[in-house]
Amino acid sequence: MSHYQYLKNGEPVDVIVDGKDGHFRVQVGGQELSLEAQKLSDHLLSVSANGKQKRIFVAESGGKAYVSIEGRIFVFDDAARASNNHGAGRSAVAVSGAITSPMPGNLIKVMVKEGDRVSEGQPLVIVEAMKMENEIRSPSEGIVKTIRYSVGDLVEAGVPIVELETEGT
Amino acid sequence: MFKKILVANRGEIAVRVIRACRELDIPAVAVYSTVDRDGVHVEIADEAVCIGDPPPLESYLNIPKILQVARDHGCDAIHPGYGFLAENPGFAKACEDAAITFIGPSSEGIRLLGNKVESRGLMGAHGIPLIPGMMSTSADNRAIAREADKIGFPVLIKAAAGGGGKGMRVVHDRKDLPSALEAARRESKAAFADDTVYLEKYLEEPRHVEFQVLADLDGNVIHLYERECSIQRRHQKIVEETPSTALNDALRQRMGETAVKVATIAGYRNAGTVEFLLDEDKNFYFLEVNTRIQVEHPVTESTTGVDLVAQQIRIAAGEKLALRQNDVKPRGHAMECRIYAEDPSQGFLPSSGHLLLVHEPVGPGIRVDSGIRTGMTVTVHYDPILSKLICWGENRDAVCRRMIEALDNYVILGVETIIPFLKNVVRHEEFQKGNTTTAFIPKFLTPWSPSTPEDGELAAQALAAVGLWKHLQTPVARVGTTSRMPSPWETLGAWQIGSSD
Repeated sequence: MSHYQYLKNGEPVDVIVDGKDGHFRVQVGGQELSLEAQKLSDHLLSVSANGKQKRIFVAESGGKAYVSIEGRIFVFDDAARASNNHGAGRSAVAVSGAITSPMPGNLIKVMVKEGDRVSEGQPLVIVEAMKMENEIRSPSEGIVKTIRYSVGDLVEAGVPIVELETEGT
Repeated sequence: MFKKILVANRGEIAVRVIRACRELDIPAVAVYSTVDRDGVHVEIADEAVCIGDPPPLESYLNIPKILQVARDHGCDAIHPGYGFLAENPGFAKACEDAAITFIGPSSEGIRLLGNKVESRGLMGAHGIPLIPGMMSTSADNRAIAREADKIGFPVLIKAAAGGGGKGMRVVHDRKDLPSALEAARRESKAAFADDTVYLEKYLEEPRHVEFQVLADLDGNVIHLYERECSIQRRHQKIVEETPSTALNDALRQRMGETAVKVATIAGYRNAGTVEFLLDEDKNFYFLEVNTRIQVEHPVTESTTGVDLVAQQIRIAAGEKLALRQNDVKPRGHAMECRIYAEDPSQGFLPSSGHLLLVHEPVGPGIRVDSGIRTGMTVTVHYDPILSKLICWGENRDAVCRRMIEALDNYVILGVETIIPFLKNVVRHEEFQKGNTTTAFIPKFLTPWSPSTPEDGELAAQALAAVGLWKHLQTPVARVGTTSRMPSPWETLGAWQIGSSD
């Protein structure tokens, strides 16, 4: 028997697999499924439930499981890995008004200085990825506290570039 | 014919060109930046040379370096693909000066047609219909603002050197003009090393219909019918098809003749695309000529049976067009979906990362032009196009069905792609009715989210599959390195030499 735990919509879900020789009972959350399954190649499974057969691709990397089923893709976080990351992530975003880039890229323009008062929607920086420019705007009114990067730097997704001091803090 | 061709590009188009070279028995030299060492184009080329660091200016846009590699490796021709140096007249000129054939039009042809403002002037003077707008560029924002008022908002900022949606911005309000101009100039500078822009009237719901042309060095010009490319996001095409649902035979013939006339006026050579906008009343306006092989060229290849890249090479080598206009007889219907590494639920933000799995669809009438494979990394440095899925069928309905099935069987795990979004496009009732305009995505699919009602059930099955996959993997792992046979020394327990106890 194998027991795994993944996050589905942020909630941990237990996945318990028992069986052999192609016949398996799988519990997902409270639900129990009786499945026939065969691994056809490294990432390809053939799974039948009630006589209906599906081709499913699975891969795993960096604490995430990726599944392609009926042309749909699902990504689940490994619950154990996610709780560790979550702690680290929380300290990064705990800084009030941290402005992050939604994707990795090159910081090509900084339009504000430390100490500037900015209004909601005001462009702060421009991050370029794959030749497209993405303007990152201020989510609220506030004062620019720190600018952590300068023009030409490579920025990662989700890492604060600019910190804002907002009225409430 | 050429002795050896250097392919000055990367990704799927470099792969496409190298394949054409091999079929013509011409050795192909690939060039690559340091992050592309494992690129598919590097893998399949006869020779491959690293030309520099990832930023395009240091590698794929590095003209002296590329020419040096061409000379050092005995290449007598260079194919530029699309993007990068494909429409850079300076590069074509440098090739001409180095006595290396640039596979494309002459540097003067690229310069003339690459300058969208100059080509508007030339075509207008010959009675080709134009979109209202500026007939010259300006670096003065106030002068541009006055022009915008004259044209009337919304206006479209376009890079004079533009193409592929780069450096293009729609402006609905006068106050947004300065920042939009600045962004368009910077984007244009980065993409084309030229920051001049101009304005055109922004037509609200036009169709984008373009005609493929071929012209040999003797000035024989034919067209290979149209491609409709109205399904766009960020002014970039994502679905293209031929024939267009908007044209009847009479209009098709008129537009085809106009396309040939445009190429003739410009003294055009090699493969090119004459782009038109078609308004609701079926008036068409000349937009520009793309002086390169287009991303969407495979749809034309599918219906006409003409290998456009091979034609480019033959024409550049001085061969006369063997095809006459009457020989071009399109058959059936073809459609292309561009597979971009972007997250459609996040406004098409580029997505980079490691490709854990790439599984391509196969079957009758299915073609995949791809630059990726399992294990490769998609970097932030280049255009996020990964591959193109092209389907051919007897008619449009058959193609839509084939495309949906093929998209369902196209599995890319590890980075976000627009595949789920493309399925929603092709499945959409309005798309299936042929109601395709450039407003299609904003009107019908914005904002977009991937959820469907059966998600809960399917997600549970997906989780079950993850469990099964890991469970089935366990015995295999035991054979591998993780659990080797323990040495007896490790299993002996506590012991001592010479102990008498």
